[in-house]
Amino acid sequence: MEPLLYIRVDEEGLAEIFTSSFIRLASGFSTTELPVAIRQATLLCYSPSGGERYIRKALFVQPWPGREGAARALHILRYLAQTCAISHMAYMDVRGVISRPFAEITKPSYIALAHDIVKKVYPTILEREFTKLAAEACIKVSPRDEKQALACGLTLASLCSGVHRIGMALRQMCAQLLAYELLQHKDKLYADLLAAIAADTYTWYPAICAIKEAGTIRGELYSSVVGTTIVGRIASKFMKDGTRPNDILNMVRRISSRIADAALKSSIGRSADVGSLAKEIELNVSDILSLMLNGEALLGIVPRVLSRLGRGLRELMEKHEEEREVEFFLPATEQLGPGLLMFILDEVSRQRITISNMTVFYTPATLINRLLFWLCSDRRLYELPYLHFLPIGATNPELSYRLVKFAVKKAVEAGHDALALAMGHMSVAMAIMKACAFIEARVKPGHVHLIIV
Amino acid sequence: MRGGRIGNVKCRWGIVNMGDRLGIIHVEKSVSLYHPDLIYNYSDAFMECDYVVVHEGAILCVEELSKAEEWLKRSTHVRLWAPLVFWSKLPAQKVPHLALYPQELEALERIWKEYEHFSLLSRDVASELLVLANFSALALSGEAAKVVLRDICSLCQLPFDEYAVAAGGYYVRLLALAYRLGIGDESARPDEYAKEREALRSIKVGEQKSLKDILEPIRDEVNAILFLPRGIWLEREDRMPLSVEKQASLAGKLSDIFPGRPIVIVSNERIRRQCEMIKERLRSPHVDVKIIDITEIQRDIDHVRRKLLKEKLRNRRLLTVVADDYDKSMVFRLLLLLDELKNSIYLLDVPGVKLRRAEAPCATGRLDEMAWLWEKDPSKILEHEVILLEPKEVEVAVKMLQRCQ
Repeated sequence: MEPLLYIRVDEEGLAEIFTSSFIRLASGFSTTELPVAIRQATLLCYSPSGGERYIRKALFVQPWPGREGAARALHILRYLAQTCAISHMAYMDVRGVISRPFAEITKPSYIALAHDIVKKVYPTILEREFTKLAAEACIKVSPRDEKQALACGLTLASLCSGVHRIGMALRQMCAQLLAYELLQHKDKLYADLLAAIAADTYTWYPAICAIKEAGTIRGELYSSVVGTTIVGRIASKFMKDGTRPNDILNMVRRISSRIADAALKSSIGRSADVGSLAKEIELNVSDILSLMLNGEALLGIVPRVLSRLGRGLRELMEKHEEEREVEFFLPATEQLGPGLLMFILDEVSRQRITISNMTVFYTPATLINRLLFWLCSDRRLYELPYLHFLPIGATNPELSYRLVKFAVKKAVEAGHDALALAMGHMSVAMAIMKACAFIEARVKPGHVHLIIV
Repeated sequence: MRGGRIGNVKCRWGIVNMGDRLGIIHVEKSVSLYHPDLIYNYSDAFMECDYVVVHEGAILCVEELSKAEEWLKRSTHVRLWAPLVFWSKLPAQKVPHLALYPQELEALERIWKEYEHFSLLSRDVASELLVLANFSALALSGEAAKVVLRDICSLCQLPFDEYAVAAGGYYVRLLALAYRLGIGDESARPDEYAKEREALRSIKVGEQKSLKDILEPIRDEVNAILFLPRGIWLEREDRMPLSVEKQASLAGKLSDIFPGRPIVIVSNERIRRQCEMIKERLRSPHVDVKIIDITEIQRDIDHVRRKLLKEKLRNRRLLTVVADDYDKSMVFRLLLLLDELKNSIYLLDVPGVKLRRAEAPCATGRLDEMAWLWEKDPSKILEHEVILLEPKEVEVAVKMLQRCQ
């Protein structure tokens, strides 16, 4: 048994932010709130006895004391984790924390709650036992401001998500946002949350892949359903070595503790950047798993994108001494979240380019990315007022081409330069290319810039 | 049921009787809900509704009970927060708490028929926007749905013409507007919906061209086909996955349009065996198939240049076909190199799997289906389902890429 993450929120306002961000993301945006905010939560990984090879997860939740709706909140979480098809949560036990044994029940609602718990044999834990469990958690955090509360909610939702492309994308987007905040604020909380995601991504995630690959989901498991080949290599190692669930649970603690320290140190170093942070995670995880990862699944994409973008922008700016103002167009990939976008915007402004307007094209495959931007901007925590979203389709390339062409043309006709990134699915990249070529050739030569990322 | 403005609901055992005061805004027939992240996979829908009925302040699903045991679909329905599902009739056995739809289905069918053509068209030309609209309205919370549906409605700026793509996109926008009224988005207005529906009614959409139609005019000028297949995971070196078979099928069918022209399969270290499989499958006395490996294109471009020259890919007219996806930086470096060698390039992308209108009516009455485009005859692949860049467009794009390389 390994309690991976313990979150305690001491202010009710922050608890609401933490809860609403967690519930929105974990439910796949199928619901937006719980009847009562969460005060404390612990995510636990454990290996069931009886020879089962799964590493299961359990979520312990204590709703805000003294508020009505605790039983309903727990029902909603159980529904999301165990039944709801839209929710991204993996199947897990949701356990309510009970402050003390029911000695004499003084409220009718308590009778109903106690009856429900006994009848359905819902797992519960007494607060004093929960406190002991929480004390043993690999990572313990307590948010102090709204951004930290949001980060805690997103991290918990990512860690609760299952083994599927969105599950991996959520871990990546969340890690990128945490990395961005860590590099900005050097706050231990962000390093700790990042470490929790890394520990989960490099242990539980591949462990489940190892079991599922041997089962029914084969074929293009890693590329189509799971999303990254790095975890595939770890899963293969687990299978080849016959790694036991308890050994994997030991790795959870070792990875989280090493990454938390390494990430914080890396963020305050002289050459602190996302590339060195990714490298630090890669080296530490490779060492603990005794496997050369040859890449980093969570943050590895960020330095690659920034390097290609930086090269393109430097070429573009070479002949220009003055600052340039552009309208920026980019398609969302599964990894594009607020974190990656802010890294991109920093790189753009480093090259003396100002963005007057920005349009992100998204497809159904990146719907969750679009909604994550909405979630993060909801309380004006990550507000980008000039950011717009347009839905397109990778398998409707003609429609996508027309939409992109219309948007770029509008920008150019308004007197701006257009800077477009061609990334993501090939047919989307080609629709962008074709649209840019049209505007460049027929509307305003020299004012449309295209970079392949 | 969302939005809270659906009044007049009387409940009794087993039936929710809505009364008849609710005006219908829009009816969509055969709505399949897909997991959005599986839209590029050959994946089935996780829920299908015979009709989705939009009222002001409520979105309802209506199922036609064609056989008694169909009510068991309720186990699927409870896996979603929403929507509330009504049934055209109740099964003979007394199943508690099923909701009976109080109107005849013929009335719904009649309303849908008014824009049937556009509803079907949108499943072809704007299938992903349709998926987004349906998923948002039926599976997301009202707040999140509003965000996505508003994004779709912002597509109204698309120039309106009689081309099928614009008409299909416009229809999805109309549907999104109806859904916004259904979820109670305060910024959506019923009169706006009515006005746009009238405008849509007046559009006549012409014939759509096929992939074959757009390739045949260039049949004589193309000297060779470059084929870039999306990487497919191989379970075993000796077993050809279905997707690779279908890629070979696409290459073969394109070769039939350009008889006698060599096919050059563009390989790299990740897809070597896959490319060999495609080559083996294409082998015939009538087709000259070669493989060219461009793994080194990032590090040693001269090496790849020599390979291209060896295959006489200089001063030629080339049809470069990407089967769905390929490493973008490799493709664009290859384009730069081919351009440098004075080749004139058509660049075509054919997606692998796509949601489209069902070719034949199926037993379940579904109007759309996931289809492999790669296995279709080019005369059955529609122009708007692929993207083709003409040599002049590739030339301009190459120049733009050179500027920011």
